[in-house]
Amino acid sequence: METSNARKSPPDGEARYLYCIAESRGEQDLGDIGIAGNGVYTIPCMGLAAVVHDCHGQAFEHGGKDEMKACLLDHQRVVQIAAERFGTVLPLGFGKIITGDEHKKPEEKVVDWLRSSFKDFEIKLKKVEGKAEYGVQVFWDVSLVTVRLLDEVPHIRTLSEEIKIKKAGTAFLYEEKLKKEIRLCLEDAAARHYRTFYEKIKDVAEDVRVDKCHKTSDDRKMLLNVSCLLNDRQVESLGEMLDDITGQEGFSVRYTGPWPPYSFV
Amino acid sequence: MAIEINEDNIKQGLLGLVLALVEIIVETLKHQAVRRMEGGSLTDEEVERLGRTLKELDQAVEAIKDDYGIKECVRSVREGLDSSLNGILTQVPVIMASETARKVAASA
Repeated sequence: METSNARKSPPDGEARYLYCIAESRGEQDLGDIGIAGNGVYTIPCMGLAAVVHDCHGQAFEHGGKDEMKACLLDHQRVVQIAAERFGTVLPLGFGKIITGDEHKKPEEKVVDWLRSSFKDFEIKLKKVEGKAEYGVQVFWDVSLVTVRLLDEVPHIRTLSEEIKIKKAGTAFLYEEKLKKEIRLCLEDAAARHYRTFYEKIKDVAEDVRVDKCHKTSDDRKMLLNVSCLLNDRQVESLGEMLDDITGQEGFSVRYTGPWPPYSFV
Repeated sequence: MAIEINEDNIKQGLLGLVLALVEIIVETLKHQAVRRMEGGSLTDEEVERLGRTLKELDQAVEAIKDDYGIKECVRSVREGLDSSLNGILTQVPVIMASETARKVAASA
């Protein structure tokens, strides 16, 4: 639905909250689907359009953790809806706004921004066209690997045997030494596995972004955390590759998506 | 977000911080003891005595954490310190690179 004055929801604020950039002509109304029910519409320029809602100087009212989470989910939902409607979109991070000033209205500033970054947006849109982002997290069971190390690595096995025949004080220091040796072996194995998995994923995907590994509450430790840009054919190949990893004892995989390509714009 | 502060959680927080620091010191002592044991500079008797002392110290720290119910608090302080240290360590190559660039620019 195309309209020349699609803005339905108040307020006609002094800023515009940005969701994503899409390929679209003419101002379009997406309805009251924005954060906190704000009316979402597009500001077009040169065949591109910014998907926005009207706001005041702040992106949103400061609230608690739950309110922020709800706003974040609203943001993601709008990007998803825009992607369904316009095809490829460049998603923007949560909380981005463009404010007006005494010389220019906010929508004029948005148009200026679209015009000045036009080339960059075009290149990025081409890069992500027909592709989506997928999250891959590989975990390993540290307890299981440690048990295996105690059995398979000669100097660790010898050390753990020696502890049994030492006096209490000496055994305590030997245990510390054993912990250190196990830690070194785990670090070495983690680096080896990381390289192997990363190379395999890189071979399959269009592009890969490495994210920080997070702490987990159980014995499973995150070994690799990446975002991949994939087309449909690559999704299938990656799925097969991840099945291979899951098939290895002690390893598990969390695979999420498809998402708008937040990490690649 | 408002932070609730009362005398009890100040005491717990302070004790948690102290215990976290004590834990780090004990770990450093254990690390040094293992190094000296591996280096062969200690007799068997000295290794045994050192090990027993550190074991008792370790047990005492654990007992205090249990008695005052501050295990979670100590863990949280340790995680905070680890994360700050990681942040500093990841900045080191950037700082060194910009320092090198500054020296190169100054000598040009």
